[in-house]
Parts: sequence; structure tokens; C-alpha cells
Amino acid sequence: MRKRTLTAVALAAALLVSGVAQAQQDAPWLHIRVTEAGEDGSRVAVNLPVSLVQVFAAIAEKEIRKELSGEGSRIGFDMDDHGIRITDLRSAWTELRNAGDADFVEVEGGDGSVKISRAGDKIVIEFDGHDGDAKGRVEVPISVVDALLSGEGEQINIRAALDELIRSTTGGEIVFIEDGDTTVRIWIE
Amino acid sequence: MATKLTIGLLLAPMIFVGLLLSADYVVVDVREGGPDGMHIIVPVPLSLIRMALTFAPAEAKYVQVPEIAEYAEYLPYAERIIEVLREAPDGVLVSVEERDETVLVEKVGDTVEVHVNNGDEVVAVAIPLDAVLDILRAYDGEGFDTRDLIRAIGRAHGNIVHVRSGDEEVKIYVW
Repeated sequence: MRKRTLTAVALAAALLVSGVAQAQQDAPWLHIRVTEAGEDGSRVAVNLPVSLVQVFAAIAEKEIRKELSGEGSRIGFDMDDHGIRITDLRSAWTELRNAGDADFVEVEGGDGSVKISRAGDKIVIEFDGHDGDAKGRVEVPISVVDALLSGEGEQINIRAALDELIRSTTGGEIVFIEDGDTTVRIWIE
Repeated sequence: MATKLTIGLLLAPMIFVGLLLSADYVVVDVREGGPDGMHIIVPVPLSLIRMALTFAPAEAKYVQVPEIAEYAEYLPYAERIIEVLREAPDGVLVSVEERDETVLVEKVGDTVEVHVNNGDEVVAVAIPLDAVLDILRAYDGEGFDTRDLIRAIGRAHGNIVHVRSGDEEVKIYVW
């Protein structure tokens, strides 16, 4: 009887350990690739466990809170002051969110064009340099913007946004930019 | 009395030899270039350093780093980063390939290894995550107890630093 119990405990422990190990293997990672064309072109690959990115997000959130509260930052994170309040941004987002599929912003300039639109459950930012050099596409799920603006007052919720980004984009590409010979890709997998 | 003295005299070197044999050693291995270049190997037993520190002056027992206090609020995040890395599966974290230089940051077991190679120089550093965690936790707001730092170094095993420049080479390893 005792031997059976011991065997059962040993099996359960082994399963638990292998389960934890498997969970670690399966945990999503953030991948960044920057590739320059040509034989001499640089290649940069960054692979970070998403749990690590979440710690960085917590630090960024802390810094932004400090910045917004006027406490200042000790590690040099500076928010540009464009006179945009988070509360105003939240109100504008509520309006845009309810507008359905539409082109929100279209800018045509000498250097190129930028378009921000909603397509289904995503906000799509596309830019295209007229000389054909820079071209890119960033896709942000609407739920991520919801999560980002889910804070109160002048607070943004970076951690919630990141959690939502992981949940909603795992397996898909978030950023794709082509700038001349350089290609940048960011995805979670 | 003479017997006690004899026993004491016999035991002292035995304890000393025992400490040396059981100790973790940090070995600094320097090889100079050229045909007449020297090869210097300095093994430093960590347990002897710890023991010697007991009798050392107060300044040697404590390393003052008050500057870190300014960043004390980030230490829990740093600890969390190390814990996450420890739990993460092995793999390449960062890789940079340029025409003349490669940089590789890789998680291997309980260490993060950094390799830089630009053809003329090769630098390899293995950072034991447990040691970093120990050092972070040893900070008391003013500095570190030197014995804690020595203990943290003892957490490392194998090569921790390897620098090769031309035909000169420096290795630091723990065994």
C-alpha cells in the first residue's frame, strides 16, 4: 500500500515538474528582427520571454506615472509634452471606437503618406514614403488600446495593454517596416 | 602542555590544507603574447579570503556603494528580471551580426553568456544568475558585505571571463 502511494506521489511530482517545464517552453516570446539587405548587411535578432517584457513594462509604467505626477524620472524616461491629456485621449478614443470601420487620419505630404484606420478589430497604421524607400504597417488590436486607456485620470495602463497584446496577437505580426534595405519585424510567438 | 601544543601545531596546517582542498578557487590565468610571453596563473581560494576577511579591517569587510541607493526602487524589478531569466528556457536572447563583428547574448542553464567577436578580439563573459541575485539581495542600502560578494562569486562555476586579443589571453574561472 505504502509502495503504491509512493509511486503515485512520484508520478504526480514527475507530471507536475514536466508540466511546469512544458509551460515554460510554451510561454510566449517577443521577437524582433532587423535585417539589412546585402551580404554586408547587419542582422539583429532579439528574443525575449514575454514575462521579461512585462517587467520592463512595469518599469515604464512606473516612470510614466512619475512623469505625469511631476515627480520626474531617474532613469531618463521622458514623455514629450505635446499638450495632450490622457483624459482627452480617452474621450476621443471612445468616439473613434464607436465609429466602426473608417479612415481616421490621412496625411499626404511631400515625404510620403500616413494613414490610420480601423479595420475590424484592429487599428492599422500604414505609412509609405513617396520615393518608395520607407514603407510600413503597424497593427494594434482595439482591445489593446482599450486596455492601455483603462487607467483612471491621467494614467495609462501599460501592463494591461501588454497583457492584452500578448493575448490577442500571439502568433501574428505586430509591426512590419521596410525602410530601403532595412526590414523590421516584431511579433509574439 | 607540550602535547597540546604539538597537537595544535599539527592540526593548524591540516586545517589549512583542508580549507585549501575543499575551497572554491577563482583562477586568474593570463597569457602574454610573443615567444617570451609569460603565463601567469593565480589561484585564489575563496574560503581563505572569507576567513581572512574575519580578521581584516572594517574597510575591507564592507564595500560602500551609496550611489545604488538612488536606484533602490528598481532593485525589486532587477530581481524579477533575474528570476524570469532563470525560469526561461535556454536560447539566444540577442544576436547581432555585422560584417566584422558578432555579438551573442544567450541564456545557458543558470547563466547568461555574452560573446563578442570582432575577428581581432574575442570576449566571452558568463554571468551566473544566482550570483547576480545574491548580490542584488545583499545590498543593504549603503553597500555590500564583502563576504556576501565573495560568496556570490563562489556561485559561479567554470569560465566566467575569457578575453583574447591577438595572442594575448586572459581567463578567469571558478572551480
